[in-house]
Order: sequence, then structure tokens, then C-alpha cells
Amino acid sequence: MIAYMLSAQSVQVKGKVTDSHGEPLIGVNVLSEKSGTGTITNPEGLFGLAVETGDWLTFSFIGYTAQRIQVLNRTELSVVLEQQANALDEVVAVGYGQQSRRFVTGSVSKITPELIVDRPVSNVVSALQGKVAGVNIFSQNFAPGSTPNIRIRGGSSINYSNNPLVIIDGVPRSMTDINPNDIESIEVLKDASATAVYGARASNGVVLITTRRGKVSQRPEIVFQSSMSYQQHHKGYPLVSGEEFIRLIRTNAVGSPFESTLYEDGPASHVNGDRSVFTPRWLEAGETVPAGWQRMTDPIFPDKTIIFQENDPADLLFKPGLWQNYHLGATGGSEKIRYAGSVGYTRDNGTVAETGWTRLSMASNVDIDITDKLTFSSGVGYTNTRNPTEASWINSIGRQLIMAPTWRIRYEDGTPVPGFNATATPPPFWRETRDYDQYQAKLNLDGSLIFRPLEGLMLKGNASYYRSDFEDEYFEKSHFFAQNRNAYTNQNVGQTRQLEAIASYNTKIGGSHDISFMAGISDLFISSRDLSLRADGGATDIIPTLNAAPNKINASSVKTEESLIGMFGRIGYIYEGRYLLQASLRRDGSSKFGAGKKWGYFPAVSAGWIVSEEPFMRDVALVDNLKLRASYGFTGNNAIGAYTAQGAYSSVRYARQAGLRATAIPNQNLGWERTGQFDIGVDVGAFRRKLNISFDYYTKITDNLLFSNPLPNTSGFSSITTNIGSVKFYGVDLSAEGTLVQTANFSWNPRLVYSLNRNVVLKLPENDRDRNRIGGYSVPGGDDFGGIAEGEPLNSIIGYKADYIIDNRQQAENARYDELALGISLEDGTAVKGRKFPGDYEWVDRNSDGIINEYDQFVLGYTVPHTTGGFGNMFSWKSFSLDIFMDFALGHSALDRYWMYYNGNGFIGRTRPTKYVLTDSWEKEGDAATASLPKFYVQDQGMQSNYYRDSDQRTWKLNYLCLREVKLSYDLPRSWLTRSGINSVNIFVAGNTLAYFTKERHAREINPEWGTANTYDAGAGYPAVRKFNFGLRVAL
Amino acid sequence: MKKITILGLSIALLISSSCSKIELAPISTIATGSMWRTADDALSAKIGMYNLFRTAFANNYQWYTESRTGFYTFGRSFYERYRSHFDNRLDAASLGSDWNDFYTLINQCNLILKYVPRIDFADVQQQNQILAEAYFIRAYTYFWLVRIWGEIPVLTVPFESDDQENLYPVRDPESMAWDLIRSDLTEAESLYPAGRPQPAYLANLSAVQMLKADVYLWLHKVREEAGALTTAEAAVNSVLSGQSYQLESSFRAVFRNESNRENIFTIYREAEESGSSWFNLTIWRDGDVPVQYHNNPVPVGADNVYAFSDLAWNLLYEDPADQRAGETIDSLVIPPNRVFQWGVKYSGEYTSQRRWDQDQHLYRFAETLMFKAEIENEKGNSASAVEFINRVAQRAYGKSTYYDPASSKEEIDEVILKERAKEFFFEGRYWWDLIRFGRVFEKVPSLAGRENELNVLLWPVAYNTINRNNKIVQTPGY
Repeated sequence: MIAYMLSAQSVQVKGKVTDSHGEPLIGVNVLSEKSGTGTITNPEGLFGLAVETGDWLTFSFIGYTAQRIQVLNRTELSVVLEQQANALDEVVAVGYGQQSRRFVTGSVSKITPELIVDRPVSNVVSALQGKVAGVNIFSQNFAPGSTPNIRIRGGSSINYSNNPLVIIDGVPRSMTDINPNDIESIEVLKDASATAVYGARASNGVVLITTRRGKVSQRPEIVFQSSMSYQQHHKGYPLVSGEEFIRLIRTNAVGSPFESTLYEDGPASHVNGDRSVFTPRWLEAGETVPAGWQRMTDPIFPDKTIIFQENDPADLLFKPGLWQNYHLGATGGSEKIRYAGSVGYTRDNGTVAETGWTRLSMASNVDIDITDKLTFSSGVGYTNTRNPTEASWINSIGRQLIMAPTWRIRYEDGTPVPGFNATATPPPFWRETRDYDQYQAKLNLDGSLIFRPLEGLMLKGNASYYRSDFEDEYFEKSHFFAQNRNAYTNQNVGQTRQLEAIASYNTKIGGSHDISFMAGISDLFISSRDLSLRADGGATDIIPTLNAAPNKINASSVKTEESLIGMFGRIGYIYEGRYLLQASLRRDGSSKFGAGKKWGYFPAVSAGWIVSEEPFMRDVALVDNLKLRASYGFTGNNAIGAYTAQGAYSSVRYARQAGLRATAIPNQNLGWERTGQFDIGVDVGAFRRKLNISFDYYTKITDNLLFSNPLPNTSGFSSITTNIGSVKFYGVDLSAEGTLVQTANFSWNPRLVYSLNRNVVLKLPENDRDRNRIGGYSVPGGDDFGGIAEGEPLNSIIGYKADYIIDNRQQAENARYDELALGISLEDGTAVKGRKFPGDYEWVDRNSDGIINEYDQFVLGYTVPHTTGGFGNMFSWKSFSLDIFMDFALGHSALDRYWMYYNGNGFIGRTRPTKYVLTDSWEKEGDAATASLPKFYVQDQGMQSNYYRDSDQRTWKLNYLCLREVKLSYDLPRSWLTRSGINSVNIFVAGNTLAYFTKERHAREINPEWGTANTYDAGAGYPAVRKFNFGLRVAL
Repeated sequence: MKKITILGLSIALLISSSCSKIELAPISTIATGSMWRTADDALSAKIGMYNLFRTAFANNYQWYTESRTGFYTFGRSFYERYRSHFDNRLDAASLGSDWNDFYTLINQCNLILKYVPRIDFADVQQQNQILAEAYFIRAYTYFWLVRIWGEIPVLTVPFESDDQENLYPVRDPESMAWDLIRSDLTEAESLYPAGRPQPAYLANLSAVQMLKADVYLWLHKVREEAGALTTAEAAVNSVLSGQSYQLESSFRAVFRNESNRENIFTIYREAEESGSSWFNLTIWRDGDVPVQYHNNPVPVGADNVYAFSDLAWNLLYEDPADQRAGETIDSLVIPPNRVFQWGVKYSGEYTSQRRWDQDQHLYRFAETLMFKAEIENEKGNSASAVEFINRVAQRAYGKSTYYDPASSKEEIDEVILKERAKEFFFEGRYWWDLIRFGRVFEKVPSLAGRENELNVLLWPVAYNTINRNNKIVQTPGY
């Protein structure tokens, strides 16, 4: 009966869906809102569906704007879907203007908000990882508020900046300045034809960010977004337990030069007292094991029992943390006034104790049409961040994690134990004795007058001001290692003023000639002031500010100024809507360069051919769009110090008198670094836009490299900044997206980004060395290696190579002299430098001289990946959608120094080995066949340096695949919302950086994103963070 | 159209006002082209030179001297990198093998010597004094370089651009360095104006004379240069006759009172200026010392690396009456078997976790007397030689005629060498003394029987030096 009644109310509707030319559209998704059922159109564009009275139908199709139609009492519908702007005719921001995607001849990637919003990340750079072809994004550090590094097509320079120019709404700024929710679009300009109009600063690519603006006659839209994540850190190497540590150290210290450490206060000794830094001691006769302590039989005096506390530094350092983001935005517009405004709040509590980050952001864009021809535009952006952090992650994480787990954390009275020196302390002592906070505020103000006196002519004057304030404050309470209450504060004020005037004119001559002109000038002035103050000797721990510290140790201010004047123009010509030509030129003058070298010219030309518009292609049904592009042009890089060219005498002190010493050698010939880039690309749309591919091949050659050329150390200077040499970056960018399945209720859209980037040094300054090598090793008799050299790639990692593990006495006696082996015998205590023992690595003798020394090192890998990218799959089923995104990087390696500290048992037996030492070490003759690690020594550095040298044995290949984003979202049915005034509600759960997959197991135990020759870096060490996120987005 | 004209005019205005804006001079440093204009520039450059002098010598001198004499052993911490010095098995990675700091200093001297003569001084004597000091510092530096490495690049022209001649120099014959040292000393002596005394941490004429005596004694004894002894004697005599200096009555006061009358030339140290001293390596890290002994008596502040060999203990504590022993090194035994050894001489004040502010002695009046004794003995005046030794010995042992004036030349040489070792321990003298007296292979245990090893007394050149300039040939034997 019920079934009957329902069917009685339903009506069969049929119809046809076409495009604007009347061509039928196949596979259009037709969905009934009330019943949730749907269908797709057949090859003639026809469909039929049962609907209920008052029902609405949604027609959606990839590449077309969806339509929502009320059935009313009709039974036959004729629907026309308009092709979406963002498919082929979307507007793309280019330097100082906009173009239709169709006519772009350069290599420009556009990222729309869908790919970046509602991700649990604090900054937009993180959200782009793996999503843009040709762009490599990696994190050295995952501290709250930190931003990943970004490299477009590998960069352009050897030892100067490879960071791209970032322009936000026309003003050079930092990508961390804005809340991702305020972004309307991001354009990454990669080839010279796209970037040359930015001249001097464009060699490393340009990122254009456009923030949201209101549109003419746009209904007010208010969007509230809220999301919250639970986050935890990715774990590092598995480490030995307290008991394992004590057993390992005690049994191996016996007979070694470090045996005495067992008899003094120490991590594996048996004599520690109540006030000792470490806990292990013998259980006294008749004593019971104190609560919270563990016991074990002494491995070297089996009639004794050792008791100790197990205090794993990781447990004290790491904690799960909350991440939250709230954002409220409004956009709208009348005929004359358009607006967009927002406030946002982001808070990241971090995963390491006493770290965190909060950001408050505000943005407002208002456009007013004063007359029909005159528009005033203004923008205001403000962000304010605050983060409790640490001045160095080495001391606050790295050196705390490597310490033995048997240390004492608190004395019986509850005060924290200081540890054994000022920079190797237990986490609580460190955190309770010092405070370090950073504050930043960024303000951007800009205003433009836009005058359109004639059809096609636009004149624009723009003024902008940008100010960034950075402040940090440090206070160290009086403590065991220092009673002087050191306090400092640093402040930096950066100010940018920019004035620009731009004129553009577009016209059509006859039916088939489209011509466009753009010309402008830009005047940029950047100033910076650093203030640093330091004092100590305060009488109280309560006042952290410097007023309480009577000894004023340092008061310094440093100012720099820089100015850049640019004049630029661009001409575009389109014939018959399919033959494209464009040329641009910029002339830049920079205050940074030598007297006669201040001005540089940066031309570019490009051409395109829209093959699919040719008559002979119109009938090729498979291909909807085929465009060939090619470009060549020049860009520059002026990322050197403001006064480098002028040399410097800097102030120093001796006997409380001020002095001057020569600190930088001048170079009045210092001029532009110039990158010539060739790019050839093809854009393909096929199968009725179900597959879109964009492919580019490029090669960039940078000449007159801004180069910090090392000088001989007899010259009085370490290096001179000069323009010599040449390097080539080349590679391939590929991006593809498609629709694999499209049915009424279900769709599957995969996407892929693949970037290949390689480099080779072409020319270096003549220095009489083999291939003009800089750095590295000059081996007597040739065969130089390391550093950088002509014909070799950059970023190599150098170290020794292990040949095999010496298994027996015979092999040891025949082994090569090893300059780093001390040859101290555990049997008789004699030291014969260079002597080897069973269990040591035998190293490869590069120059076959029978001696292992610095000349026996090899290139072990490279720090920069040659391949990066990502692939995603978006599944939609009814109102659900699931997006799974993975990114990857291949070809990079890291030489891990922490492996050396852990397993080399440094700090005279105080560091904590990994579990692998227990299972994989050589222990006795015959083990060499299976052991992958050498014999364990207490203080390896004071013995054979098996761990304590850069080698392939601690260089990990970092090739990784990361499950970066998983997001499941659900749109609440509209029917639930009709009376609430709410337009839409979307709820989502998401995960971020859920897992790294690596072939090398140790790669995921460190940070696999960061290739490096030395992981022991003050800016690294905050481990990667995994987030589980829940959020909702409500639109009014 | 009017609006377009206005806009066009504004653009033109903007461009014309812009072009001069790309000429910007530095604000917080001095551009090379703006230096060397006034007497103040020259004075500042002189202070800068002493700053670099401190960088080059204040910590590094230990690698070349005491570290090689057999006086040091490893203490609590075990810095493998130091073993090559203790064993006299140096290699191109040994600390101290890089001559960068010395040549940075020499370049500053060369800049002063090039530009200061071109500046107009109201006070010409001031100009001469600056030049004399620069000649002196350059001579002092080359004197160390030539003794450490033998053949070294002899550079007298400052580097001011990267296309300059001799930017990639070779190692010149030793004689070139000695010629330059001699002529720099002559210049320094003749330019140094009379009646302009300075504190001992800046070079006075007596410092020039002391260096001259040091250099010519070496030329006489090691290079057997005719007439050198006479020059050395004249230099020492001028210091003795100047009456400006005297022995402090207590040995301790020399190292605790920085403005004493014994100092002829020192390096100024202060916490915020010069950073941590190498001497911290002879004291103790607080975490390694039971709290009740912190600075009572065990001085704490840094990681203990150096302990002292029996050779050192037996030498310094040979005579229990020697007041220098306890002011040089000391020890504490905590039963049953914990031993703490530490250095005393330069332990300075304990502030901010470290010890820093102890001026380093390069020449002091005790050495003037010892030089005089050495010269008298060379001349065969043994009674006179012993008289000068006894002036130093009297303070040490509290006895007026400690050594017998009727000793042989060989006995007196032995006494001079031993007293110098005791008096100047930690002051970077004894290694050179051993070479000057020709006793190094006999007195340094790790060098016994190694006379035939090529250049075993010289140093190899750092890998880094050769990697940056392959015209530099490694010291033969390394």
C-alpha cells in the first residue's frame, strides 16, 4: 500500500541535455534531490527518470556548470549546460594582468581553492605538496607554524637563493602571511615567457596568489569553516630499553679505555647517589627496590643487583596535540560596490612539549566603481602569530632524545635534574628553566585607481605598503649551569613600499586579429631594521624582561635598504583564434649591484598553436583541445645582500675599543645572474574533456651565476660574491586529470602530477683544479671528488664506503691502515693508530694506496630528489565524496648524524643505541655473514670510528610515498536545510600525513622529505606530524 | 585625454625620481670605497688588527707549542682530535693545520700598511705609531708561520679584488719570510715614536725589541746567522735599560693583576669580547665534579680534556719551595681513586658557566731576563748569565743565589731551558725553546728516535688550504 502511494506520487520525466552549440552531452549526471536516485544521459543526450512532485533535478557534468532545475509539473525537459570557465576559458592570472587559459602560451599552473581548503594544515604551501607539476615542496622541520621549502623547477642558482618570488595581490610577500581560506586562486608561473615580466627576481619562478574579491551583483555569501585535528608525531628509531642499555654498556666497557666510567657517576654505573644525574646503582643488602624503580642482575658482577629508573626522553618530550582552525568569510557585491572580508583563527598545540602556534588573520578587499570608467580598489590584510618555541631544535629535541634512558628526571624534592651538561639536559629541566617565544605581525595595505577611458584601454595606478614585524624573547632562569639569568630580545621590522603604474590595451582588428599591449613601471623600496638587546644578572626568575637585568651586554641595531626599479611591457597577438604570439621585456635596476652593472634587460618570446581549432581537427571527435606551446626568455636573480658589491668593513671590539676590520671584499663588477629558459609544452583535452593532460619539457641555463666563490685562505677573505659559471636545470612537468567513471550516483576522478628535474654544472671559475672543482677533495695524483665541479650534478653527499665487516683476526691483520681507527686493543690496552679489529668495517680504498683517509670517500647520494609528484583519486557517491591523495619524491638521500650519536654511543657512553645494535651487530667470529652493523664500542669515536665518520652505512635513500591526505565529506541533503536559511552544510573527516612508505626502513624513522648531508641541524628535528581531522563548512 | 596626460606625466616623474634611488650606500657597515679617509679610520683599523691578532693567537698557539711537548695527557674527556698533537703524529686534519686566521690578520696589516701612509694626520707621530704596530704584528705573525710550516706564502700586498696578482700564491722559500721579518722589525723600530706608551695589550716599542731578541736568538742558534746574536743583545739591552718594567714580587700577581709592571705584550681577553679560552679545557665540567668541590678547589666551567703527564708534574713540583708550581697546575684526590687535575695559571674568574677574562702573556719581563741570560751564556759570560737566571729564580724559590755562578755553559743552558719551562708553562714558549736549544728529540718522549723523519717538527697544511689553492704543495713528509 505504501509502495503504491509513493509510486502514485512519482512522475516519469524525460529530456535531453545539450551544450550551448546544441550538441548532445553524453554521460551527464542527473540526480533527483528528493529520492536521491539518478541516471546518466545516453549517447543522444537523452535521459529518463522517475521524480516526485516538487522535486529538483541536478544536472552535472565535468567541465560544465551544474544546473539545478525544479521539475514542477513538466514531464519533458530540455537542458543546456554551459561550458565551465575553469575548463578551457578560465581566467588565469599572469604577470600584471589576466589571460584566458585558452590563449596562454607560457607554462602556468593554476590551483583552485578546492585543492587546498579544508585540509588540516596551517599554511598554503603544505597544502600544495605534490599537487603542482614542476614544484618540489619539502619540510625540513614540522614545528607548529613552520613552512615547507618550495622549489620551482629546481631553482636556478648554486649558492644563492632558490626560493620563488611570491606576489600576493600584486605585492611581494611571504606565502605564510595568509590564511588558505582567503585564497581565490594560486598561479605558479614556471617558464620564462610567464616570469620574465618580473625580471630580476623571477629566475626561481613566480607564485601569484589572488585573494577573494566580491563579484558584481553577487548575493551575499557567508561561509563558516571549523575544523579540529588530533595530531601525533611520527616515531623515530626504536631505542634500547634501560635494562638493555645497562647490559650493553657494562659488558662492552669492561676492558675498554672507558671501564672507569662504570665506577663513577654515569648512565650504566653502579655507584650513582641520590644527587647523581643518572640513577643506576647496586641494590644494598637488605634494601627493597624503591617504588618506580626497576631491577636487574648486574651483568658483570652477577652476585649484585642493579636498580635504576627508566625515563624515556621521548615520553617526556612528545604528546599528542590539538590543531584547530576557524574561519568566517563574507563576500558579495552590488552594481557599484564589491566586498570580501574574513577573520580566521588557527591554533596548533604541536606534538612536542611547550611548543605551539596561534594565528589570527583578517582580510578585506573592497572595490568601488566611482564612475562607469573609474574604479577604486583597496585591500587590507593582517596576520598576527605567536609561538612558544625553541631557539635550536638540536638542544631541545635532538640531544635530549639521544641520551641514556636511565637518567634521573627529578630529585626527591621534585626539582628537575640538570643533566650532565648545559646542552644535554632532560626535557623537564630544559623546559622549566627557559622560555623562548616568537611573535610576528604582518600588515598589508594597498590601493589602486583603475581608469577605463575607452573600450579595451585600462590605466592603473597602485600603491602598496607592507610591514612585517618579528620579535623574539628569551629568558633563562637561574639554574645549575648558569646563574646569570641570560635574557635577550630581537626585533626586526621589514617595510616594503611599492608604486606601480600599468597601462593595457586590447583591440580586435578585422575579424581575425586580436592585439593586446601592456606597459608599466614599478618602484620597489625595501628596508629592514634589526634590533638586538641582551642583558643578564637579574635578581629574580619572575621578571623575564630586560629591565630586571642590570648587565647590559649587547645593544645593536642594523639597517639595510634596497631599491628596485622596473619598466616592463608585453605584446600579444592572436590570429584566427588559434595562432598565438607573445613578447615581453623588462628592464630592472637594482641598488644591490656594482656601479656600472645596476641595470639589466629581461626579454621573452612565446608562441602557441591551438591545433584543435584547425578545420582539419574539428572532426576528430576524440580530441577536444590540442595546443602546442613554446617559449624562450631570460630572467634574473638578485638575491644577494643589499651591499655585497660594495665590500665591507665591519665593527669589532678589542680591549673595549671599537675597531674596524675588512669583512667582505668588494666587487664593483657584480651584476645580474641571468637564466635563459626554453620550454616546449602541449595541452591535450580528449574524450569530451574526460582526460586533460599538460606536458612540458624545459631547460634552464643560468649564466653569470651569483656565486660565492671561495678564495684561498691566504687572501684574508673566505669568499667573494661574483658572477662566474653556469648551471643547467632541465626536466619534465606532467599533469593529468580525468574522469574514469561517471554515472548518476558515482564518479571517479583520478589526477596525477609528475615532475622530473635534473641539474648539471656547466662552467665554474677557473681555479686550476680538475673540472674547476670547488670544495671537495683534491687528491694527489688526480681523481678529485666532492664539492661541485663541471659536468657533475649539485648537492652531492660525500662519505666513506664500507666494503665488508672484518670477521677474524687474519682479516684484521691484513686490513688497510685506517687513519680514523685508534687501534686500541681491548685485550692489552695498547694503541696502534690505524690498526683494525674483527667487527670493524673495512672501508673501500678509493685510491688503492693501502691507507684509508679522507681521500677514500665517494659520492653516496644527492640531497635533492630528481622526481617528485603526487596522485589523487576523488570518488563521489551521491552526497559523499572521498579524496585520497599521495605524494612522492625519489632520488634524494640523507646522511644521518643521529645514527652516529645513537649507535656510536657518544658523550663517553652516555648516548642510547638503537635496538638494531642488539640484533644486527657483529659480536663474534662468524657473525660477519649475517651482521649488518659493526661491533658495538662504548664511545666508538674513541675507538675505531665505525659509526663516527660519514659513510654509506648511515646514508639512507629517502625515496618515499606519503599517504598525505584522506578526506571523506558529506553534504547534508538540501531538503534538511530549506527552512533554516542555510545554503549548504558540508561535514568532513580527514587525515593528513598518515604514513610514509619507504623501501629503506630507516628513512621513515627520520624525516624522509628532507635530503641532507647533515641531519644535525638547528632548524631540523621536530618530527613529522600525523593529523586526524574533523570539520564542517556552513554556507549561508 | 587630460587624465591620460596627467597619468603620463606622473609616470615620467616617477621614473626620473627613481633612477637615483638605486644608488644606496650601506648604513651599518662601511663600504670599502668609503674607508681610509681619516685618522679615525686608521685607528679603527688598528683596533681591528688587534682583534684579528687575538683570533689568530689567543687560542691556537697551544696546538703549536705545549701540546707537542709531552706535558699534556687526556683528562676526563677524550677528544680524539688532540691525540695527534700529543703524539707528534700530525696530519692534514689536525686542529691548527689551517692558517686562515693568520692570513686574515696579515691582510689587515697589509691594508693598514698600504693605506695609512696616504691619510693626512694632524699628528704624524700617531700615523707612525700605527704603521710601526702593523709592521710589528706582521713580523710577529710571520715569525710563527715560518717556524710552524717552514715554507709559507710571503704576502705583503692586501687583497682587494679577485683578479689580483698572487691571489693563488705558492709557498715561498723560508729565506723570504726571514727577510721580511727582519725588515718589518727594522721599520717598526724606526717608526715607533718615543714617549707614547700604551697598555701592554697594544704593542709598545719594548714589545718590538722583545720580538727582535726572540727572532735574532733563533737566527743565531737555529739558522746560525752571523751577527744575529749582537742584534739580539742590543734589543734585550734596550728593554733592560728602559727601566719601564720590573719583576712582580709574587708570581701569582702576574696572572691575577692584569695591569702589572711585568707585562710587556699581552692579548686582551674579556668574556663578551673574546669568547671562551682554550684554558677551559684544563678545568672541569660541573657535572663531573661532586658539588662540594666546585671551585673549592676544583675550578669548574668546561669539559676537562687536558691532564698533565708525569713529565710535567715532576718538572713543576721538582722543588717544593717553587711558588710557581701551585700557580700552574694542581690536583685533588678523592679516595679511593678519583683524581682531578687542572690548570691554574689562566683559570681567571668564573662567570656565566665559563672562565674567560685572563689576558694571555706573549712577552713579560721575566723573559727579558731569561733572554739576557741566554745571550750572556752564548757569549761565554756564564757568571753574568747565572746572575740573570737567579733574578727569576729568586722570586720562584725565595732564595737569592739559587743557581751556582760557577757552572759550565752546557749546565747553564740546561738550567735556562728548565727554568723557562717552569716559568712559562702554558705560555707557548717551551716547544720553541727545545728547538732553539737543539734538545727537542731528546726531551719530548714521543719524538725519541724520530730525528730522521722528514719535517717531523713542521706542520702539514690543512686539506682545506690545498683544496682552495692547489699551488700549495703539502709539506714533504705528510
